[in-house]
Amino acid sequence: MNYSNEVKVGLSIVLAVVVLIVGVRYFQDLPIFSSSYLLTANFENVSGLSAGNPVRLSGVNVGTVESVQLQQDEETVRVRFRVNENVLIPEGSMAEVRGFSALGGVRLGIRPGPSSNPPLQPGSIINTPSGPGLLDQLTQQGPEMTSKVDSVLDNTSRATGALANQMEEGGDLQQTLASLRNVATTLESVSGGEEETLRSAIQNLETITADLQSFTSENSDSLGVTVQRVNRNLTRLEQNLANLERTTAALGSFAEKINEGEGTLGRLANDPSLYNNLDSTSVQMNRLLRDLQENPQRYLEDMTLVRMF
Amino acid sequence: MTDRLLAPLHAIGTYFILMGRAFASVREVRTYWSNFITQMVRIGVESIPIVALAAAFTGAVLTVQTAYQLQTSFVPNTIIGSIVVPSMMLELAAVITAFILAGRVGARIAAELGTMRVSEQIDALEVMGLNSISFLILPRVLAGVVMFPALYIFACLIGIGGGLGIAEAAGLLSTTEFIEGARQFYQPFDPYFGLIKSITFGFIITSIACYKGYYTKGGAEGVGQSTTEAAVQSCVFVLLADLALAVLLL
Repeated sequence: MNYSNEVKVGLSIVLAVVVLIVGVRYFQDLPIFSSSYLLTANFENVSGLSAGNPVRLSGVNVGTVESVQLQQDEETVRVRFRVNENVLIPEGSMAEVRGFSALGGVRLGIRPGPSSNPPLQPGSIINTPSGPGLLDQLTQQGPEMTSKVDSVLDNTSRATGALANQMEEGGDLQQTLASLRNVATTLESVSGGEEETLRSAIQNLETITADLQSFTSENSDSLGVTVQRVNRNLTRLEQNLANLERTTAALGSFAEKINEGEGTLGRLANDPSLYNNLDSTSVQMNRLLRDLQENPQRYLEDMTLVRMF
Repeated sequence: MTDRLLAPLHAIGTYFILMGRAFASVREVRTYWSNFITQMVRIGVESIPIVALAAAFTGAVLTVQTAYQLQTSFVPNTIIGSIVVPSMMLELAAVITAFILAGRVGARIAAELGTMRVSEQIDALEVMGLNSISFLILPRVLAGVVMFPALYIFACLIGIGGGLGIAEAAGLLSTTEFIEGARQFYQPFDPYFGLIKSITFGFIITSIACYKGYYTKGGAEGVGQSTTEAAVQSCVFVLLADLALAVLLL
């Protein structure tokens, strides 16, 4: 099928224009056929934000930055950006610059306000947080951080040296590591399973600590008195204990004496002769009593008193 | 000695007078319209396949090599997309198209006009009362100016498509990552800068070829020389214009 030259030319030019429009909108991250609306935000510092950077709401691309203009008289930077028509940003939302230009690019993030608020109208101005940008904060704290990092590195190198020594000395480090890993896994599984419990336990601990604190602060006077009393009692207890010790020592020497057979008690405890005498006495007594039972007349003969009858 | 020093100035003057005369007759649409359409087909439509081929391979190679260069660094994968897409838009799509067309279109125009000059067809046109400049040169230059941007757009589309395709096929990075990276550092001016470049290149290539062909001297040898000079000088001036535009507009 032959087309005329005009048709060929017309077709290629129309195609090119369509590709251009669609392509530009595509790479600007705008929906290709639906429209978008414009919002404005005024920043103190945009940390390298530039036209074409994405606008993200909760991490989702919803539009692009259209222009970044320095307003020298107001010392602000006016950022105009487009948001897809079907994305409504509630009033009270905040726009902020996120990311570094060195790592993955700068973007305009929107922190949404309460969703009950009415949506922002096209062309309205969105709030921005005050204070220095992320990069500035980093720059300000840079020297401090550097020294910290330095000391950390120092420690690390020392630790590494020690570790290397350990490694050279023996292979039980590996075992230690293995068991450590085991412990970690166990801990993980435990903490994973018991996360809720742990959390409630920590909460309880917290409340207990808080209670304790309030209790001590409220009763600090009476607590002081109590502590003094306890102190006094403790000293007394100490004295008593000393006495007890002395008594025990005396008892000890007494018991020793008894043991060694000194004195009456000692004889009593250690000398069997009294026992023997007593024993033989009781045996004889026994015999006497039996004899008395068996032959009472032998002993009652002269007992005239009993002969009354 | 003076002649040799003056020769470049003479050439520049002749070139601009020729272009002035060509554009002075831009209103005589009827004289050149049918020629204009024909030239748009020859310069533009018929060049689409070779431009597409070159662009596809350029995009693919650029993607693979960028991935290779970045493979050991801490740079996220998406950066490949942010390098390939602007490179295609800003530079490669326009310059690759221009180089291919300097050979394909520039040589053709110079040879055509040169032969017409040597075989006295241009004189015959003049005798017939036709303005040979507006009849022969203007449609070619205009066709270049109109069709080069279209070719540039196709080159962009196909080059980026080629990069994307090879990235996905070779498992270098996913299409989503590629596009995300491209969008991250996308500047709205990029494609328009490429368009400005391609219009400039279209003008440079066709006008230099017309100039060389129109002022061909001698016989078949002269035609050969004009053709060579047209192709070489187009490339040189494309590079110079490339640099000048980059310095002036970015």
